[in-house]
Amino acid sequence: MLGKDFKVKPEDAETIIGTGVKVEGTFSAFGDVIVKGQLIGSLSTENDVSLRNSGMIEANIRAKNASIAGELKGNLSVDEKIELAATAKVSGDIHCRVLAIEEGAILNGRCKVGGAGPNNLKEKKKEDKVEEK
Amino acid sequence: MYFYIYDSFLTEKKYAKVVSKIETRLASLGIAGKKHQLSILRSVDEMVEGILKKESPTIVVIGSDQTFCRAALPMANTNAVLGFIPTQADSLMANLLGLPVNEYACDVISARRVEGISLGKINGQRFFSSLEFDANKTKLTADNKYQIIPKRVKAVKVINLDLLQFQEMSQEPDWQRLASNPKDEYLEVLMGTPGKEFWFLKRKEKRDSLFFVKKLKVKSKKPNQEILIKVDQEKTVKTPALIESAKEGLKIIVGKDRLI
Repeated sequence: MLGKDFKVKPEDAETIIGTGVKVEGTFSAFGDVIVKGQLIGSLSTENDVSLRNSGMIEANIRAKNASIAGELKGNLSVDEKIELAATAKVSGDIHCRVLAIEEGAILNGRCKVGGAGPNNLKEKKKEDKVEEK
Repeated sequence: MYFYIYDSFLTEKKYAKVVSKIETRLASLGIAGKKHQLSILRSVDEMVEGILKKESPTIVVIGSDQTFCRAALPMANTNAVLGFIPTQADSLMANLLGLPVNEYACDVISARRVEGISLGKINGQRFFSSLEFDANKTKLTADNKYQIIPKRVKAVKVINLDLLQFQEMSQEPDWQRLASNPKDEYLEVLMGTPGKEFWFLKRKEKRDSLFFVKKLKVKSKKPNQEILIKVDQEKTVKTPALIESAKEGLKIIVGKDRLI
């Protein structure tokens, strides 16, 4: 769960929001984030987010990859891949490059998949602006 | 120049053989130095501060983890190097820093592999290893951005240099032992329920959550209520408390089998 390496660096470590804890506010991390408990506010990480089936998030999420098995109320914006497990319940818009949905997953919201992820889109917009000038 | 601080319990007769073996080994390695004996009347802080007046000393503590942790605090942001010769087989610091026990640690001191580590601060006072407090009655604010609300966890451990577990040496195999990273600007916040042993009843510890923070504010849920925070398994500080990673560094001698 915490990785087999003895050293835990924030860049590659897993922040774990366990079942016994609730987090409220603007949560940002460098490494992977595993949510088994509750998170309300916003969540952003440069790495992956994993919402386990015991977890509940009421927040907009920004990450590199996301795997959702719990309940999410909020928009999910991911650079690479989103995986929705059979137990996932998502109420919000999702935006990613690749989407995998397991049978049984619930998704209520708009869905933008393929092409460049949100991160690449931002870069493209910047490039376009420079070209216009 | 090497300065050796001998723990107060080493004056007991049963340690005479251990001390003699350590001294012989230090002499044969050519790193013998000045001996300072701790006693009830001479505290480790005073002793270290006295030694620090000399130019770039190497201070080696011979004895317990507690004395070693206490000696480390005044040495932050100095040119001095800190070494440790543990004399207790269950020494946690020996495990973390990769040091063998008794005279075998002299070889590590002689090899002089130096690592820089940072310290933690609670209400402006330095701490070396970790802090522990009751989770139920507290409100935690991390990095002024989010609140951590404990619901079904009993204890919080804020770690600078320690294992990521509540029990000092749990029964877990070595490869499962995780140590914090004291070289970065983050403190690890571990939340969970410590294990308990009562007669034949055993409850295994449960690690629930792990956060990496630079600053953590700890307050009591109820106004006018103070919660005790245990600092480095020794003294206590009352809430409200501001815990942060100190930018002050410390040079420390480590072995090659270290966990940090």
